[in-house]
Amino acid sequence: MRGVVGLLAAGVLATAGCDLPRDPQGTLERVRSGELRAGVTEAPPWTERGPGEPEGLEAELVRRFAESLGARVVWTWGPEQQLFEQLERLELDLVIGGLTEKTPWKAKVGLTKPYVVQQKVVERDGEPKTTEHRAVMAVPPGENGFLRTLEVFLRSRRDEIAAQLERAR
Amino acid sequence: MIPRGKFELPPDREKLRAKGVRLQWVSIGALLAIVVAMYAVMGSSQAMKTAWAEDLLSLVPPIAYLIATPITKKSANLEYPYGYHRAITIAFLCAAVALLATGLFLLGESIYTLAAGEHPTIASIDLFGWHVWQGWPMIAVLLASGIAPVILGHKKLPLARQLHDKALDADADMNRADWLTALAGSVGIAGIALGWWWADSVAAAVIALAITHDGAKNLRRAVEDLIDRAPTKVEDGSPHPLRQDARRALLALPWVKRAAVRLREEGHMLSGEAFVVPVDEADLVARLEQARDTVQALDWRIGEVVASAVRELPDEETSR
Repeated sequence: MRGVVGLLAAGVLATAGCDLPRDPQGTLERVRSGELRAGVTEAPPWTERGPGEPEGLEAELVRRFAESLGARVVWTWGPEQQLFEQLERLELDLVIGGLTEKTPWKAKVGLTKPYVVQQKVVERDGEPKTTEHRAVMAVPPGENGFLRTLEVFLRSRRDEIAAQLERAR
Repeated sequence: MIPRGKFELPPDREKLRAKGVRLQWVSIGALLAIVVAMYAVMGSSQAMKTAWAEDLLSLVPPIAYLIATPITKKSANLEYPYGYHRAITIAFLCAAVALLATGLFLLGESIYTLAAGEHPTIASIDLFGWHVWQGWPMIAVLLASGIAPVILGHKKLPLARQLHDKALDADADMNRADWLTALAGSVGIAGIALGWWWADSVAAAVIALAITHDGAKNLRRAVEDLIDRAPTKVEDGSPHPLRQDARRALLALPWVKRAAVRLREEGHMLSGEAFVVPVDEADLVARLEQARDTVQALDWRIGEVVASAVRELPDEETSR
């Protein structure tokens, strides 16, 4: 009996949509063919201030992501704290700026899984140490449909991103 | 100090106990596999965290059982003249307290998460070359986690009934109810997929309630044994017929004018006292031994009954 219920439930889910998972607050719907409100904080080479719009690897990715959704980007520069607070309140759709998965904000907002990993050599206590920068982007908490779309986009550009990172070294 | 005589299970029950022990080893193996798989796909779902905690806690009764069983088999000695029968009850008391405390804590956490309006974020991971939304493997693992415990629970239950083992019975009950955890957890994650962020906390609360209920039920059973409640049936906790049978068996003896008994549960074993008012004081020692043997022969579970002769017994109403 329970097996039947389980299968039925699975069937309902499968037919209910390959548009799963969905956004509780409809971010993806809103962004598509509309505006992508992106928050950016400075962190070269990921994001850099340019003469006009933000530049850098992540800024470029966001522009192309928006393009893929038929949306135009509305940029907001700001410090991390302020941008994350806005993201939490859904006043922004996306935040970039050299974020890593270690950010303490991960409990309050949504993060992609690392879309690229950069090996860095830094100096700690006078010794060279290799660390990893596991790059992520931040989205509003719980907007799983939007997050999935972003992650699929980033995954499809994986090799390109790695190549660009090499050049930026 | 004179130690009690050895209490042994009849050979057919001993075989059942050995089977119970084997099933508990299998349970531990299955639960460990489930716990590891769940941990690998867990992420930030409250429902999944609660289901994982429940499965982790499910390890405690079998482990307690395996540790306590060899202890209960130890013979009584000068230092522990009553033997070690209650070792298993103590193990279950600890397990029940752990369950109750964790259940209440998780219930509080899920209600808080719901009230705080926290929307769970679930990203996508790499699984065997596929880039999947983590919710899908979560659901798969949750559904799969319901299978083994339910099967094991169904196997343990008849054993528990035949061994009159309340600890094993409670454990079997918990296992059989694991389908509820698996289903609730899956529904919670499916809810997230559909955009209902609250489904996760609600599912977590349901699972936490089940844990709390199990904890409370086990706690009651363990306490009843420890404070010497009169024997009750394993299946439903109703008064055990032995309460009456023991007295009737004594009254059937020709030299017994009036009789009363006291019985209590000590893990597997029943023990107690028999009070008889004899018609006269002839052959008292032999008669008392007969009284003792009569009661002890009623059921394999009755380990030790101490028979005493008394001049009078209180009225029928207070010594039913």
